[in-house]
Amino acid sequence: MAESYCMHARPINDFIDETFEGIRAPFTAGFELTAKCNLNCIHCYAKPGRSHADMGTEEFKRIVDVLVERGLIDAYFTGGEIFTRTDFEELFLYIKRKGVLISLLSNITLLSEEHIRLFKEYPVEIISTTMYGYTEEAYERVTGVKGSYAKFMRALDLLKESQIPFELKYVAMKQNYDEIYKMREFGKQLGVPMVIILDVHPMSDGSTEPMSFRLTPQEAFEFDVKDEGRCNFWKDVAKDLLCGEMETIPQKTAERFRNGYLYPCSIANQHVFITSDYKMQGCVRASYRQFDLRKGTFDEGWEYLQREFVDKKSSGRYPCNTCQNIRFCEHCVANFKLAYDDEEQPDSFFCEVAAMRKKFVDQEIARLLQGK
Amino acid sequence: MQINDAFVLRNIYGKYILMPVCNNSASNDPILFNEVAASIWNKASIYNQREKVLKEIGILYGIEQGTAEMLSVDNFISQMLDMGLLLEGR
Repeated sequence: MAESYCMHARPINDFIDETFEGIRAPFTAGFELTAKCNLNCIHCYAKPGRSHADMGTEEFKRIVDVLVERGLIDAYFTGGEIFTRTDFEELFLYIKRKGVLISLLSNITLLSEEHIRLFKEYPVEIISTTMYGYTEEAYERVTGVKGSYAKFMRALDLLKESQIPFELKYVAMKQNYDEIYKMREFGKQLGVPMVIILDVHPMSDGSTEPMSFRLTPQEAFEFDVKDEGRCNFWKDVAKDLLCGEMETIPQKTAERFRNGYLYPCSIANQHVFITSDYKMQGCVRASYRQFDLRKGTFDEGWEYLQREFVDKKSSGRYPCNTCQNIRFCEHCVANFKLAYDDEEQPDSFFCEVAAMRKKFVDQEIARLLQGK
Repeated sequence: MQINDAFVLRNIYGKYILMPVCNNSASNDPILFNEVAASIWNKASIYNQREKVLKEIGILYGIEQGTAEMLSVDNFISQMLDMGLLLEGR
């Protein structure tokens, strides 16, 4: 009769792939509710959009109606800071009542008891928040706002007490690298998933200033092997590759590259991103090709994104589609375009980290073969 | 009998998916329905008597009352009630 599907046991993308194989539709979407924020983080990619007027409540409802009709199942709200919108509750309830799963990306410093009550009655999939530093000094060095650390910590307590599902992210940068292991421990003690982000992206207008805060590839790799969880992850990859349970190049990526496509991911295929000034993008990063929803319909925009992303072919000079390290790489064509104004120019940070990971995994395979 | 209004049933490219809206004890994850389950849900959203829902399903699928097939549909409804997707009374 009813086959129970638990998204916490299987990623939602797997469910979509299995259930809707071969259908191009916006099953997942991101909504940038606003570019405005109460913090002023040094690495923020969204700063350039803070001056424009945000999409209106009715505009939001209009695009949600279309996306739900086209198959939207899972969405996330992001910013800027989502809780700066005075109509947040109205937007949240509107999409929830349409039967869409919702995750929230927030700095949580504006999270209130009222929000908690709302999420108790209308559950969120997860609230994903970034901890910008372990200490008050480190946190506020990144956010640039005095008092923000105390508000963040109070909100963490609120989430924990109320058992609202949440995860912690940590963007490792030169400014806070010395705290990375303490942060990992903090996440463990809190008993929540912790995502450590080892690279910093360009801004949405292509400014590469945030990239100057990045760790070196060596520092990023060092964390990969020193951190117990990450090290075990790469050891498992070695085992799976050795047993043939995993291909050297992920199957979908290999297929896309074999057919000459530039983008190996689900960009504009099963995903769409709506910006706060009401434009459609293939994903959150791909701000360089947008379709203005105030000047055309969703269907026109969806066709435009197909041409510009899904069907886009690479040239003969694109090195990633023949790279044997792709399994170990977090490369992103959209980031290449933002950083270098060239979708086919890889970011050497990713290449270097991937090469070190590959070497580590190769050594692990050799060790396994020797029975050590 | 009534549907649990903590859910909405969606038809997405021919697949029926019961999506949770409010917190509830039945499931806070999506549930994939087959066509019969979806039909029961739709009929139960209109009619509050189990017998009437059964009769409507019988008409929809051309099943005679009192047959083994109809007994299966009835069991189906019981399962949906047990899971808390359908609720007793109104």
